Amino acid sequence: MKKIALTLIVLVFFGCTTKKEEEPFKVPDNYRSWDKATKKVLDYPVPGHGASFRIVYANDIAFSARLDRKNKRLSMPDGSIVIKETYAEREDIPKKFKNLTIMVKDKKNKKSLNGWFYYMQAPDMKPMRIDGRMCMGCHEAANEEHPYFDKNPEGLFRDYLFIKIAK
Amino acid sequence: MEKDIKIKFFQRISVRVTLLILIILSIGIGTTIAYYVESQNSTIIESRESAVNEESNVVYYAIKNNMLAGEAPIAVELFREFARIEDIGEIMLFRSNGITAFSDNSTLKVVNKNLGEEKFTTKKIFIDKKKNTDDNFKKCVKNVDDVFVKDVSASDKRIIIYKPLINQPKCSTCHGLDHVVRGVIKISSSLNEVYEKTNFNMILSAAIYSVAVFILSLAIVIFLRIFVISRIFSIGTVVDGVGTGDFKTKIGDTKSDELGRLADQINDMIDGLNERFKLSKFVSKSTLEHVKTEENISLGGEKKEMTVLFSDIRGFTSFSESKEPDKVMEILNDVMNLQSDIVQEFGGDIDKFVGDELMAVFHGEDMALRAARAAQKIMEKMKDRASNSEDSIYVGIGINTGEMISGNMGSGDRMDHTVIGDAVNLGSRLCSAAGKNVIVLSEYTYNYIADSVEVKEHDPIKVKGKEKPIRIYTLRKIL
Repeated sequence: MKKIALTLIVLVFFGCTTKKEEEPFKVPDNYRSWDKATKKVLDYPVPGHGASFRIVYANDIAFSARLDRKNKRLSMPDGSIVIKETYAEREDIPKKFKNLTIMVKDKKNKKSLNGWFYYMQAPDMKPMRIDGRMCMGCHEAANEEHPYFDKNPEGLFRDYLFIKIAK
Repeated sequence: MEKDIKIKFFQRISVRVTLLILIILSIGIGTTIAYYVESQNSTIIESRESAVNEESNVVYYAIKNNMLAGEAPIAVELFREFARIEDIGEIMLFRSNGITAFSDNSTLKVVNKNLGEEKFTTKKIFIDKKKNTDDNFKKCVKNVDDVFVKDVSASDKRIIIYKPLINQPKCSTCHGLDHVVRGVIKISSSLNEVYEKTNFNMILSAAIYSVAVFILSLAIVIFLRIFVISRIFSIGTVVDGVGTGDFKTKIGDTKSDELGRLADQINDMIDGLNERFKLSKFVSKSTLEHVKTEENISLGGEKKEMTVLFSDIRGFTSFSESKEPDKVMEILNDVMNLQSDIVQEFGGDIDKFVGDELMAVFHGEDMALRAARAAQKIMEKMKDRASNSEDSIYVGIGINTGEMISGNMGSGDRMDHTVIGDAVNLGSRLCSAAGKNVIVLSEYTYNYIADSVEVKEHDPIKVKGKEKPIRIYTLRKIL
């Protein structure tokens, strides 16, 4: 009886004190079956990606985002995943992508940057989380109404995405 | 006080107890205070750092949103305003190559080139040109992330935060796509005041702690002196007195604490010792020795070869009838004291006084010779006494040596440690036979000391229990 009680105490103690390891993000194998954010191949140059060709996929959760037209706010639900394939040449599509840049929404996680986690994955490599200002510093401009770049014509809060994914 | 001086400093209870308390205070309260002060200081510093970090975010967004296309003078004025606010510290914006932003028209020229037209006219208002060579600045550009530097040198303590301004898509139209970091904001805030405050806190806490410990130690020492040490010394002084035979002085400690109780117990012990000391005058030395060495005192005895000396005052009965009782007792005590001292001088033991008779026992090496010498000296002293006194008192002494029974005789409640047997009776008989100033030895005693004495032999006497008469001698001289 004593042994059982002791074991329970130890388990409770470790249960309380042991930090739960965060599971590393893994790109879903079937992401190419997801809907594309835009049917176009994005070919205009942008800082960070340079002159490249980009195809953007988003999962169903991302597409379940609702647009609050009254407040002009688009909030992506937690679990939203946006994967951008980047190609150096148009001829490389769809086989030889340069890298994947990924955004995963997890607003409840305090480590997230404005609610998002940013990842980059080179071919045959594991995704690498980008925690600095590298990605977030650029994407925070997505919500601005600005006379340059895509100009955010609807004046929306686009939840740090330069592309509107919503129903 | 003499005892106080003899005790080494670190062996004193007051010193040890004070040291113990000091150690406990240092380890316990000292550690707690040190931890508390340290954690409080850390909290102050961390909250200041956090505040600076928060401020830096505000400044970052303020600067980022002031980067209006072609409006460098507005940004210049913003930085000049920042410089005027003393509390905010140093705020600078550098290009990614380390040169101070808005220090010349080079960026403007690049923008016009990218736009393919002279859209923006060159400006004349600049910020002083400087070059940032700090490795942390380079790290910020390389990693495209904030760098937080806590630079706490001895002379100057500050937080330096580098924040990169990203070449966002909206910027790239004018500034091009060949770089990710447009510039780096440097926010430097002094922590000197905070550190001065925390240092002051530490010094003040240490000072208060030291004073508190000093006062507490002093209080403990005084308390121990008054309520413990001085009382122990009082007890020690009385106990010392007991050691030298003073059974009258008592400990005057009436407090109802542990030491008061100890004092009561010692006082009771002194009373007991006093009682026993008085009683010891009524018993022989051998009895005292016997009591000391024997754990369980019971009736019984053992046979031992000993010499017994009987001394009796001649004609004492008629003498006492002619004197007052007080005078009789005075003279008797005087004579008994004289004899007793001499017996003890020669290693004998007064076994008992019976009326005007003294019985002493000698044992061990030269017992017969020592008894003879004691007897001879008694005779000499009695003669001296007689010549110097109105009372002409003389004694007769008988000495016998032989096997006697030494042991406890009487009842279980009341017993005497003495010697009995025929040899003792013979000694008494010899004494009876001895005239004034005469020492009578039995043949047994004489046999022991024949080589050392000159004697005169007398007619043998018949003794009860002995078939053969006993030869007797009077002592003339000891060689």
